[in-house]
Amino acid sequence: MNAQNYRLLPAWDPVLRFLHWWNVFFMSVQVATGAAFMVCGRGLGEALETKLVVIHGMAGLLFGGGLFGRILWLFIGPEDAQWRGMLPISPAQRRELAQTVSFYLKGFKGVISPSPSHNAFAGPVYLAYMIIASAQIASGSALLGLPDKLRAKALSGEIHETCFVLILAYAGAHLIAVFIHELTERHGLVAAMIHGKKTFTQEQADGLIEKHPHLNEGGRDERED
Amino acid sequence: MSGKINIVFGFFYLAFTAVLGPAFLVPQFGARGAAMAKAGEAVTAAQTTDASSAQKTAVALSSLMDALKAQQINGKGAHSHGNLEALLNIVAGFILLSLAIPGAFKKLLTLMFIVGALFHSGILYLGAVFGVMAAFKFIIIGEVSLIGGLVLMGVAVAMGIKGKDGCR
Repeated sequence: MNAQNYRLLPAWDPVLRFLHWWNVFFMSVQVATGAAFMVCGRGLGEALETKLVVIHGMAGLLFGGGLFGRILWLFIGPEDAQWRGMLPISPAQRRELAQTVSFYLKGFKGVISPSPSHNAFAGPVYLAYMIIASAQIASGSALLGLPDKLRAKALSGEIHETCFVLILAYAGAHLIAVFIHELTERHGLVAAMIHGKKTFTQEQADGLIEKHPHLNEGGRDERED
Repeated sequence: MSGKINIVFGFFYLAFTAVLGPAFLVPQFGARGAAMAKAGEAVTAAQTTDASSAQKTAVALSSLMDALKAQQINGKGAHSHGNLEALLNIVAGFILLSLAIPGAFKKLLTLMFIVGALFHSGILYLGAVFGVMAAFKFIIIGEVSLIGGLVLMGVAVAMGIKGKDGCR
């Protein structure tokens, strides 16, 4: 039996990782409180509902801060975090996207090219999520400024509820995708979103370093003293 | 360079928001006092007359409404928040200059504090001083930008201030 060599390559920068977990936490708080409003309606009682609205609003603003930071990071962050790295604009990215879609359509069978960070299909999905989440923050902010009686009738209320469902669907699909990719590719995705490095076989790592030389030596060092 | 931009912006912005005090808010104190005095006189007149004098009661009510309107000083939010956000930019700029963090991260923080100030107190300024009420629709951008900037500044300080060995 041959021993397989593995190598850790830098995938996500610390700012992106922090923003990811920050947004996960506050999105979860919002989903929990939002679901309570949707399921219980007026059954919560006025006192509890008022408290939940405050928590929901505060979590929404804190989530909005993280989301806005991530959107700006699309333009000034490192290569893998930028919008250019997420949209299929180059022929190579379009090829990888087609390959990834075909991998999904075949029931997660076949070969998928290893990517240094997110895969070619995930990039556009994340961008779509950012647009929906922005609409969610904007509509939520508009709702917070309205009196109770008007909230139910407002257009922003309908947008907020629709985006809530879309975000829930996105979160579910994201978790399933992470689970399936982890099972089929074994790059240590969840751990990579904590310590920043994905696991590759030596052969995969060599191929990626050839395409992206900055991955060698632990990535780019952009520190400024 | 990133921190320097915040400091320069902060001082100029502070000048624009500080000037709101003497030029915009102080003159309102006189108007408020006059409205209160007028309402007081009208109420006294209504109280000392016959109960059937509807005209005097109406004048008293109208004066009271005017006095209440005068209490709502416009521009107070722009002045107080603007000053605070200008100082925040100055302080954040100084801190950014001393942090050892990636250049892109510094750019992000610089942008977030400037966008935050302009879209938060800047919009309050536009609304209160120039009456551009439509701008209030975009105030959420300033709010989330400032909140995100503050949170990420915490991360930047945790990452970028060197330990004991780094100071030697």
